[in-house]
Amino acid sequence: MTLNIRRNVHLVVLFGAMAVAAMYGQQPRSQAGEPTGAARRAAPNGAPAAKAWQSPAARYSPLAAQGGYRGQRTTWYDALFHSLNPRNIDWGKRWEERRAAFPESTVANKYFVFCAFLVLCFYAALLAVGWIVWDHRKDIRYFETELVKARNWATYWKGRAVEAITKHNAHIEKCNRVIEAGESGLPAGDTAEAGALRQQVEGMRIEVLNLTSENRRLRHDLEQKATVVADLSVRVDDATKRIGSGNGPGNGTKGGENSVQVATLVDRINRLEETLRTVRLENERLKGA
Amino acid sequence: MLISVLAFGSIWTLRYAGKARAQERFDPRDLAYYNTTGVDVGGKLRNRPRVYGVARFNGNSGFRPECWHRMLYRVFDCEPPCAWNGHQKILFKRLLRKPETPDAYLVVVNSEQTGGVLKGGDWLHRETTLISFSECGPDQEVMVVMPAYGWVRGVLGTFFLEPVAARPWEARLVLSAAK
Repeated sequence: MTLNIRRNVHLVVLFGAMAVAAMYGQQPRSQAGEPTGAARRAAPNGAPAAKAWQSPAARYSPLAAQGGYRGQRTTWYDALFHSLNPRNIDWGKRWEERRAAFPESTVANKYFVFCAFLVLCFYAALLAVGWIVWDHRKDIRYFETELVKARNWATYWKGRAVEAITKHNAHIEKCNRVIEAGESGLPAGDTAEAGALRQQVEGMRIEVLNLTSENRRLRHDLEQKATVVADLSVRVDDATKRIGSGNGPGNGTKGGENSVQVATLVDRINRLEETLRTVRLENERLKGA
Repeated sequence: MLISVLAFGSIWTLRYAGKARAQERFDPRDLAYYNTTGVDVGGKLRNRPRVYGVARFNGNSGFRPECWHRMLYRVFDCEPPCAWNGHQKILFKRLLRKPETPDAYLVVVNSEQTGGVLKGGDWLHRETTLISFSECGPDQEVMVVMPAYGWVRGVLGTFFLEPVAARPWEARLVLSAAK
């Protein structure tokens, strides 16, 4: 029993403290601004009581002059509600007003409907763009993967193709060697050896061409020299005839000089003929080569 | 070195040494004419060089570009062919008044004559100097300085350069059966 009483006392003290706190929390506002509803209600009734027992604070505080909060006759739950709704707004009325205005400003307002439509369209477009970008990236990723696969396959098959071509070429080369050798079935000789031989044949062919060129040039020179020798022979014959016709009586001394000249010319002719023979032999040798 | 001109390449270019000078001081002797090979590419002559080189004719050498056909079978006093600035070059210094037996001939061969030169291996006489070689597809043009009885191998066979006996400054390529 004693415990129950003590608990009730504690509760009363707690509520009282809350009420006092709420009242003190409202004090500056009520002093500074317009008096609250409770204050407005309490003010006329509280004036005579304030006059009855005035506190020392009444000299400088209008609230104290009016008797303080005690003089207002405000209950604790009024103070509690007042703390919850200090401006004393009628929320029910306001809710009703808003509820009545809501359909008018939304469904009945064509601008609202239009704007809502536009916003919805905007979001739909945003979604569509996002989806397109995402899908495009997915496609790109897919194509990149396929491209890499194709490249890998191309490299692989290129290598295989080169391998096959090399094998085929080696085989055909062997077949060619077999055909060239006139044999059947068995490979004849080495490919490298055949290549070297072919190169040697080519070199020989070039050498033959160079020798042919040299041969033609020498033949040309020889023809020129033959022409010169023939010309000289004609001149020597003329000179011999002149000398022969000039060996008459009274020409003894001149005859001796002429015989020396003739001997010189004959020597010269012999030398030229020797040269001609040598050149002919050289020509024959080159022809044989 | 005496060189007889048997033919010219297809492309001519001109350089004027005194280009920066005043126009009234123009002197054709300052000109230099460059001749090189070219092939027909899409209706236009292009160089397309395999081997690039030029034959230079100085303006004061007696060369007359306006009547170049008169320069054929004429003998020039020349510098020997040399490699200059990365390409072959031969300078024709002076035109001889009277032709003499030349040391070599300036020969231009194209694929219509020889069927195209053989690629790979020796296709030119060893004493012959290759000046310029243009090629585009099957078309070829080759400019060489070749001594008498030099040869060039083509698809059709081997061509020997044989001078005319009476006029050694004239010569012609004669197809000989390859031996």
